[in-house]
Amino acid sequence: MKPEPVHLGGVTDGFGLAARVLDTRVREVRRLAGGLQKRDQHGLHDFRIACKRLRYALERFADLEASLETVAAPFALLQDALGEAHDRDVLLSILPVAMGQTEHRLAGEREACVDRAVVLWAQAQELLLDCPLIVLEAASNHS
Amino acid sequence: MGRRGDLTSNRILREGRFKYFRRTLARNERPPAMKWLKRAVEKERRALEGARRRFVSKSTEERLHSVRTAGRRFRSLLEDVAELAPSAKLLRRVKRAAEQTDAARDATIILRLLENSVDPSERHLAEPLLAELSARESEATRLAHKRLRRARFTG
Repeated sequence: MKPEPVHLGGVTDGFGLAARVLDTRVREVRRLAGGLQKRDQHGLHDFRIACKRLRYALERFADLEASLETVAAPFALLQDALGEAHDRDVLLSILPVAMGQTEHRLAGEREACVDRAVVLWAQAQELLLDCPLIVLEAASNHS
Repeated sequence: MGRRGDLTSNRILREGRFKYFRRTLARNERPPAMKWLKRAVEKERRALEGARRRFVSKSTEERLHSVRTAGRRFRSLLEDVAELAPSAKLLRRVKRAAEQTDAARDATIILRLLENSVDPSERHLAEPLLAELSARESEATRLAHKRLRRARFTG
């Protein structure tokens, strides 16, 4: 999945750069969050990639604003949960048909991973509301 | 009450929730974008190059994972700032390095998962797939090692 391009025209300082990148990545994550509700493999995959991009951006800009680390933490857990669901999807796609018991177990684990991701996404959204990226953007505009 | 996602930066600032941060971000405290960016790119480049060297010296599962993680972080940075600091050639190299490790990592993960989740009553049915994944893991790791030996991410 190609990343949403970040428009950086007029950016002069590190905070302005952080604000533009984070703003774009948050928007991307929210746009793809529907995949979590649908619970299908493709939608979950795209959402996971978007979460990963946002997490890396949050961690990268934490040297400008340390509290971004706190926002990144639930995204790391969310990425793990979605990754574990993805691994089970891959294994289920190549599992011999005769292995019904194993298939049943993997499918159950997969659903549990997605349930965990739903809870983590709710927590991550709460943190995003207080995300200092909004502040960084404002600071850049109020010099 | 509106949806929480509808809160805009202006509204939050009007409500005065972030006064502390606004005070701390004086103009002279802000690093110039290009200076910060140059430092960040160099940091990620060194991390990937270091992970690559460690994997080439000894190709373990953990070291392969480190190469992939460092590569993803670097790629993410290059994509995020492409408009400000285009580096198509470097981005291609980083993407290629990731692709060269995909097969090895996939085989390892799926092999471990199958080993841990196979129902005891179906173990005999899983044996051919376990053997195939094990062979795929060895071959893909060998190939990743061979290709990463030649890869360079330095300037």
